[in-house]
Amino acid sequence: LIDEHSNNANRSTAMYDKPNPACPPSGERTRLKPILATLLLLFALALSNCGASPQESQALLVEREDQAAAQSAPTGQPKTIALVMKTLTNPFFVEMEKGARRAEQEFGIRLIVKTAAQETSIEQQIAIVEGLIQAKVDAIVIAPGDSAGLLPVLKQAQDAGIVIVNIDNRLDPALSAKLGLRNIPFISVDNEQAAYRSARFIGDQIKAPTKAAIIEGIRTARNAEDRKNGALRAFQENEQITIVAMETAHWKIDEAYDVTKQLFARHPDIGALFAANDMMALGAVKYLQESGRTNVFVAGFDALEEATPALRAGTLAVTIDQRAAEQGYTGVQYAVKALAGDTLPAETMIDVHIVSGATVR
Amino acid sequence: MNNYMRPRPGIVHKSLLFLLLSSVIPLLVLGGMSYQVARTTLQEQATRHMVELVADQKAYLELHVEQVEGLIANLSGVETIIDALDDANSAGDTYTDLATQARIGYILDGYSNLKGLISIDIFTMSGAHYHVGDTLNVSNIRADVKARVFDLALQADHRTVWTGIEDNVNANSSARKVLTAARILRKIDLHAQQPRPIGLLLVNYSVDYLYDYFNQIDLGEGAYLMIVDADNRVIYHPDKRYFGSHVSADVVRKLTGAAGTFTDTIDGQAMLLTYQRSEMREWMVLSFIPVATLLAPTAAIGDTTLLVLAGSFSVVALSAWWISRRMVRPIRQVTHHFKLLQAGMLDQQPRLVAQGRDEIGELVTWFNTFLDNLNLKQQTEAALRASEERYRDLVELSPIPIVVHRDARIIYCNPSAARVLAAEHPKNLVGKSVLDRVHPDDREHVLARVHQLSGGKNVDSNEERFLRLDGHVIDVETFGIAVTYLGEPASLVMFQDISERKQVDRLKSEFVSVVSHELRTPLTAIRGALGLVAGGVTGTLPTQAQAMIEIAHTNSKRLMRLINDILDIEKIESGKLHFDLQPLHLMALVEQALEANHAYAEQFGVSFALTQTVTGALVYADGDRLMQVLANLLSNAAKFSPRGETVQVAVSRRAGSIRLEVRDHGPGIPEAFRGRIFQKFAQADSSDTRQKGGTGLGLNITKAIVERLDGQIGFDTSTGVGTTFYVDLPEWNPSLPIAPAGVAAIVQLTSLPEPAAPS
Repeated sequence: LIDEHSNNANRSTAMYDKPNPACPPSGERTRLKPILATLLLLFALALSNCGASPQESQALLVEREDQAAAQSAPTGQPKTIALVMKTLTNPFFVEMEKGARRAEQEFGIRLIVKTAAQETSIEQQIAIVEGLIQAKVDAIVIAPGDSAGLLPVLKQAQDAGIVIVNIDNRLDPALSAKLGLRNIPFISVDNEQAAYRSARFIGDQIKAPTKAAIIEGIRTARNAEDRKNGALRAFQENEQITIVAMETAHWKIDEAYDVTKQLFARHPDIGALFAANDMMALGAVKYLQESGRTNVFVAGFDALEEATPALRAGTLAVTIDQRAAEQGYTGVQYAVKALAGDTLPAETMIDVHIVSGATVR
Repeated sequence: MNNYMRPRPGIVHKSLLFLLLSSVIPLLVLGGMSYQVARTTLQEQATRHMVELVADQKAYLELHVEQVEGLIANLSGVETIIDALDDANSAGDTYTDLATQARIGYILDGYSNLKGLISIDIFTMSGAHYHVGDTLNVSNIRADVKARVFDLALQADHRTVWTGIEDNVNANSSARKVLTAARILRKIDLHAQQPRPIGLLLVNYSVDYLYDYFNQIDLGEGAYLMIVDADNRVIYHPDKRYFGSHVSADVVRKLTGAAGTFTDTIDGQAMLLTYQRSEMREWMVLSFIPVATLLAPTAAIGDTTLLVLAGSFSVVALSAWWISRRMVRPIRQVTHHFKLLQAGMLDQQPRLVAQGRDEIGELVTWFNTFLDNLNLKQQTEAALRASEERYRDLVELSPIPIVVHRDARIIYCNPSAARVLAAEHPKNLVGKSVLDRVHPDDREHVLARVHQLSGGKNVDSNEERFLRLDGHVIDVETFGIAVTYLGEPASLVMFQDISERKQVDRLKSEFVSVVSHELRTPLTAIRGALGLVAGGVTGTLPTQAQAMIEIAHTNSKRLMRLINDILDIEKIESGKLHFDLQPLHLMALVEQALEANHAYAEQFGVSFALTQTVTGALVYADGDRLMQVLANLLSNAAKFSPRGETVQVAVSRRAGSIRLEVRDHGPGIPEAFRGRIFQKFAQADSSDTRQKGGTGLGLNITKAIVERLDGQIGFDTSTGVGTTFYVDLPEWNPSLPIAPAGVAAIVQLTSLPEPAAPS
C-alpha cells in the first residue's frame, strides 16, 4: 500500500511540476530542505549578530626587551631563608652577608637580609623576627644582639615551623632549654679563645708593669662576655699587667671613643687596651691619636677592612679575623640542610686568624 | 487523475511555518535579545566596575607614591644628615667615615620601616655612600644608574623625581628592578646664601611589594591588571618577567587622555581595556579583561539558546516527519482513494491501514467503514434500481392511467393516462395543472381532494369528469394515494375512463323504464279484460275455459306485479322514488293492511291475527309505501305458512320506536339463504319460487323503503318453527317539528308512484 502510494505521489508530483521545468521534481524530504536551510541561515545570522567586532590590533601588549631577565626567572618557589644581623653600621656584618649571599647563589635559595640599626637594638631584632614569622620564611639564621632577650620570639618562630640557626653570638643554652627551644645549631668562633689570642698578642709584648683596660661589648651578649673573659685570661697570665678598668661601649665606635676618653681621664697611664671588636678599637685609636698617645697597645677583634690602615700604621696592634663571611655562609648552609631534614652538629666553631700589622694584606 | 495536484502549501509546510512562527522564531528572537542585552549589560557593568577598580588601584598606588615622597621630604629636612654629610665631605679618615656611616645609618634606619621600601641611599658629591636596606653590601654600585638618577634629580630641582621602574642602583640587591625616587640634598651655603647640592637621596621601592598587593586582585579568568610608568615601562604585571619592559607602541598610541575604556585585540585575544593615568607621576593603571571572560555568562545564554534551538529544530524536524508520515500520508491516501473512487477505479482496493487511534486513525478507520458501507449501499442501490425499473415498467406499461402530481402540478404521467387524456405524449401533460384537465363543475370538489392528498391522506374512489386535450368530456373514476415520489411527498392518482359504463347504465335504465311502461299499458288492458271475463261479465264460460281464463288472469296480475317491482327497484336505485311523508296512525294502517291481504291469505288457507296493539302509535311515513311494506311482509308470511295456520301480527312500543312483528309458522329460512335474503331476485329455492310465486324483489324493495323511513328491518328464524320479520320505525313525536317539506321535493319524480296493489 505505502509503496503504491509513494509511487503515485511521485507521479503526481511530476505531473504537477511539468508546467514548471525549472523546478526539478522532488520528494517530500527534499522539499523540506530549503526551509530547514533557511532556518539554519537565520540561526547563523542571529549568532553572528551577537558578536561585536573589536578594534583590530595585532600588537603584542609588552615588547619583551629583557629576554635574559625573562629566562632567568626562577622556576618553582625557592626556600626563603632570612639572615638577621645585629647592626648595619658594622662592616663585620657586611662580610657576613657576603658569605650568606654566596650560599644563596650556591643553594638556590632566596635570602632576606635583615639588620637592626644598632647593636643595642634588641627590640628591633625582636620586631624583625616577628615580621619574618608573619612572612612565613622557612628558616632564620640569626646573630642575636642579646643571648636571652630574643629567646621568646625565636621560640615562637620555632613553634611556627621555622628552622632557627644561631650564628655569631650564642643564645643562652640554659634559658633556651628552659623555654623549650630545641636543636638550634650554633655556628661561631671560640670567642674566649680568640679574644685570649688577641689580648695575648699584645700581652706578650709587655715586659714592664703596665696598666690595662678592657672595652666590652654588650654585657648580656654571650660573645661579649666570652671575649672579656678571654682577654682577662690573657692579661692575667702576664704578671706585669694590671687590669684597671673594664667598661662597655656596646660594640659602638663613637661610644668607644667616649669611653676611652674617660678611661684615660681616670687612668692616664694605661698601656694596654683590649676592645671586644674592631669598631670599638677604632674608636679608641681615634682618641689615642687625638690625644697624641703612641705607647698604648690596642688589641681588636673582627679584622675589619676599615681597620687595615690602623694595623699598617701600628695604631692597632692586632685583631682577630673571625671570618664573618664563613659564618654567614655556614649559617645559611646549615639552614638549607636543616630544611632538607639533615641532622646538624649542635656547635660548629670556625677557625680564626690573627691579623697584625705584619700579617695584614 | 489529471487533477491530482498536491495542495500547496501543504499541512507539513503550514505546521512547520506555524511551529516556526509560534516557537522557533520567538525563541530565536528572545535568545538573541537576551544574549545582546546580557552582553551589553555585562559589558557596561564590567566597564563601570573596571573603572572603579582601576581608580581604586590608582589611588592605592598614589598613596604609596605619596608615602615615599613624604619620606624623602622628611629625610631631606633632617639637619643631622645634612650636617653629617657636610662634615663627611670635609674630613676623610676611617673613624669619621665609620662614625658618620653609623650616625646616618641610625637615622636612615628609622625611616626604613615603610612597607615595600627596599633601600634608602645617600650619595654625596664626594663619593661617600650611606645605605640602609635589604643588603649591607653596597660595594657594587651601578654607576650609570646612579649618574642618570643624579641628572634627573638635578633637572627636577627641588622636587622629588621618580625614574619609574629602574635597575637597582645597588647591584648586590636581590631586588633587580625597583621603583626609584630621588631628590638632591642641598645645604644653604653661608657665603653664597645659595642652596648647594651636597648629595643625592635615593629611595628604592619594591615592585615585588606592589606585585604582592596587586596580584591578590582577582579579576577573573584571563583578566589582569598592569601598571606602567611614565616611559610606558611595566611596573606591575602578573608575570614578573615583564617588569621593566616597554608596552608596545601600538597599544600606547591608544592610551590617550587621563582615562578611557576600549576593546582591542591584545596578544591575539579580544580584551576590554580600561586605563587611568595618575596625574602625579603619569603612571598608568590598566586593566585587561578578555571579552570572552566578560561574556562567559552570556555564552551560557547563547549556548542554552543554541541548545534549545537545536532541540526545537529537532522537534520541528520530528514533527515534520511525524506529520508527514502519520497525518499527511494517510490523508493523501484517503484523498487518493477518494479520487480513485470518483474516477470509478476503486475496485477491490485493499483497505487503508489505520495507524494510531487519533483523529487520523479515526479518519482512516471511518474511511474504510465508509468504503464498506458504500459497497453495501451500491449493492442495495443496484437491487433497488432493478426493482425500480421493474416498477417503472409496470407503471409505464400499465393499462391503468396513472398521474403523479405535487400540489396539483403534474410531475409524471404514464402512457395510458396520456392516451386517455388524448395527449400525444406524456410530456405534453407533465408540468401542467391537474385542474386544467378537470371539468369546471368538478374543479372545486377535485381541489378539495387534491388538498386532502397533499396533506398525506388517501382519498376514496370518486367519479369525476375530465376534460381531454381534444375538448371531450369523459367520466372517470379516480383513486388518490399519498406517495413519496423522487424523495418528496406527492400524490399518485389512478383513474379509469367509465364513460362507456355510464352510458350502458343509462341505456339500461331507459330501456327498463321504457319497456316497463310499454309492457304495463297493454298488460293492464289484458288483466282488466281477463278479470272481466273471469268475473263472468261475458257470460258463464265453460268450466274448462273458466279455468284457463283464471290462469291467464292470475299470471297477468303476476306479470303486472313483476313489472311494478322492477320499476320500483329502478326508481329506488336511481333515487327517483317519491315519498310523501306525513304523520300516520300505525294501527289503522295495520288493520287496513290486514283487511287488504285477507283475501290473499285465504288462498293459502291462512288467517291473520292481530295479537298485540299499541294505542296512539304515530309514525312519520308515506302511507302507500308503508302499506307496500306491510303487504309484502303479510303476503310472504301467508305464502310460507302451512294451510290452516294463523299469521300473528303484533305492534309494540319500544324506546323511541314502534315495532311491528309478523310471525308465521312456516319452515323457516334456510341457513344458507339468510345472508342474501334482502338481495334482488333472492329466493330460497327456485322450484319453491315457482311454487310460491313472487318476483324475488319484494324484500329488497321493503328493505329499501324501511331504510328510507329511517327504520330498520330484521328477522328471527328457526327452521321448522317459523319466521318472524320485524320492522322498527321511529315513533313520531307531535312536539317535534315536521321535517321541511322540501326534503322530499328535491327528489325529482320521473315516474308516478304506484299505489300498493293488494293482490
